[in-house]
Amino acid sequence: MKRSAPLLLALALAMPALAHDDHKHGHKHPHQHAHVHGQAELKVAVDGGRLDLRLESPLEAVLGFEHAPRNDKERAAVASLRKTLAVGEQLFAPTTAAGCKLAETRVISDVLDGKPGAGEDGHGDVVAEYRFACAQPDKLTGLEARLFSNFPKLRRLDVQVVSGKGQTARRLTPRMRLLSW
Amino acid sequence: MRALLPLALKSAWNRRYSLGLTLLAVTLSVTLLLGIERLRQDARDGFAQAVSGTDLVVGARGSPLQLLLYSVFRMGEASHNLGWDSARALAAHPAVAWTIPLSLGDSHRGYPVLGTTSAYFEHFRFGDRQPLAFAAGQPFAGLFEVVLGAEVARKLGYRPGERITLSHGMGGEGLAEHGDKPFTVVGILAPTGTPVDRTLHIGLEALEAIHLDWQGGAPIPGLNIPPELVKKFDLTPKSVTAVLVGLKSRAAVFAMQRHVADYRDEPLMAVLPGVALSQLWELLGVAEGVLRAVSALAVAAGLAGLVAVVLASLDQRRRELAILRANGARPRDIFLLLALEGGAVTLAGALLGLTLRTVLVLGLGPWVQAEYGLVLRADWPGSGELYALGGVLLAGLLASLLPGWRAYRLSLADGMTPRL
Repeated sequence: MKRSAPLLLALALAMPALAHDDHKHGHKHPHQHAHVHGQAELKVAVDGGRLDLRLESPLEAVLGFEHAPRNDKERAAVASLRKTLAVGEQLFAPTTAAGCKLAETRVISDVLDGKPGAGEDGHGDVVAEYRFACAQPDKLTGLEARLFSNFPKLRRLDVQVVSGKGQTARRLTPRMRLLSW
Repeated sequence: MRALLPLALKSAWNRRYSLGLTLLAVTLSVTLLLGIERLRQDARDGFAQAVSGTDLVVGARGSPLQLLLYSVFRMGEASHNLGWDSARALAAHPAVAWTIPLSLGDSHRGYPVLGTTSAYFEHFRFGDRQPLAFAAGQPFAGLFEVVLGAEVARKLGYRPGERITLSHGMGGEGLAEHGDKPFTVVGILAPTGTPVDRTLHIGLEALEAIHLDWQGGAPIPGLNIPPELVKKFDLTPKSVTAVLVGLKSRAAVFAMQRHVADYRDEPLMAVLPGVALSQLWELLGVAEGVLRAVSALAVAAGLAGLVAVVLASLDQRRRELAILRANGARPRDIFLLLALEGGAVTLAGALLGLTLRTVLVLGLGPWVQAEYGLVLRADWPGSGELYALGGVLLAGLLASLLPGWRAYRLSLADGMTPRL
């Protein structure tokens, strides 16, 4: 066991955080990610000229509430969010020189679909998937997360990137919006 | 000024003990700073190298980091196993290009034994996506055959054809032996600089076979199945520790991760090894920061000592400086002389520190690799180390301005006849 002495320190440091992670995952929804207000997750897969983005956010961060709309004001907010999420190029801007075009958009959310949403724990999420097709894959080196301007309540974006250079995790904030890989 | 230099060198030589000790302090602090930077960088590179070709590591649901550290780096504690049926279903998924099942738990003289399939030698990648190469022999084909990592073969002096026995469980002496079923060494892998070097590889069926007459971690009394007969039994493994997965398309990795998390027959998880490592480094960032701060403080202490020694010598050297002035040295020459003395000691300390760090890495590298599996490289300093060196030099030069300025003021005030 002596081999792992320094790593045991690492493990000791890491365990509380991971145990916490387990707790958040819960058992009701097998792969439900952590639901922390103000924080969203972004998954980025780069494969040649194809760029796949998947945004998973608590509705609170992008909408302000997590239940089905109850009045006209909330209905208007939902309609506005639908419109915002539909225009993926305004939320995420890949390297300009790469000439990326939004090819496919998919938005999944019970609340936005008019269903009661908000599971037993009273929380609701939205998932938006975007696929870009890029004309110059060599020049595709990163993206700017512009969605912080659209969603002022979003304080943190935890990003996982998978590209030809490997896998990495990054964190973006309203003050640090540039992601490179 | 040019005429001053030989005199300045002689003056410094006259004070060689105090200056020498100061130089030693600066050297040691620079060695510490550079050594920590090297360790940090090499630890990150080493971990990243070991998982370069794997898209996902699949295991029983639990802590992602624990699964990764145990299955890929053979560190920390064992995690739960996943059923062989799940591993087979995973391999059959249309998005999956290849899978490598891994089963850990046994050892041989402190080195871990890994049960796997021939896919390991075909698909496993390390470093810059390099495949595994054989230094001698070939992959295992028969049941009781073992392929050794480079370090196992070198440290234990094994060659192809050697017969060895495995121990049940991990760690140290006094483990029960699988003595009745010895293995023949059929292959030795070329060095990789990853945990592969410290691993013994056998087939999953062989791992099953040596545990046929075992139960609950001990041989079943009175039951002994000789090696010739094990083939009559079903040697399909019941479970494995983890499965390394390579995908046909990178774009599918997150969808595959969700697919695994939603797997109905048992709770599973799929870990992106690179992402999990990034998260580990982020968690360790605080500890790294503390180490860096401590080494930076050591450098600051070394430089403070340097300034103190030069300043203290100033009082003894007022007569010397007055003589220099009498011989035509201007006050700014005096300033330069003192500032350069401090700067030169800093520069020498930085260079000696770099040399000492390199000597230490070369000298201790093999031991560190054997004990901790960490490969230290003694090559040209990386950007992090160059920044650190630059910072030390800048700080040393700035700090040396202080004695220079004091000498300048004194030489103006004292003129030719210092009152001591």
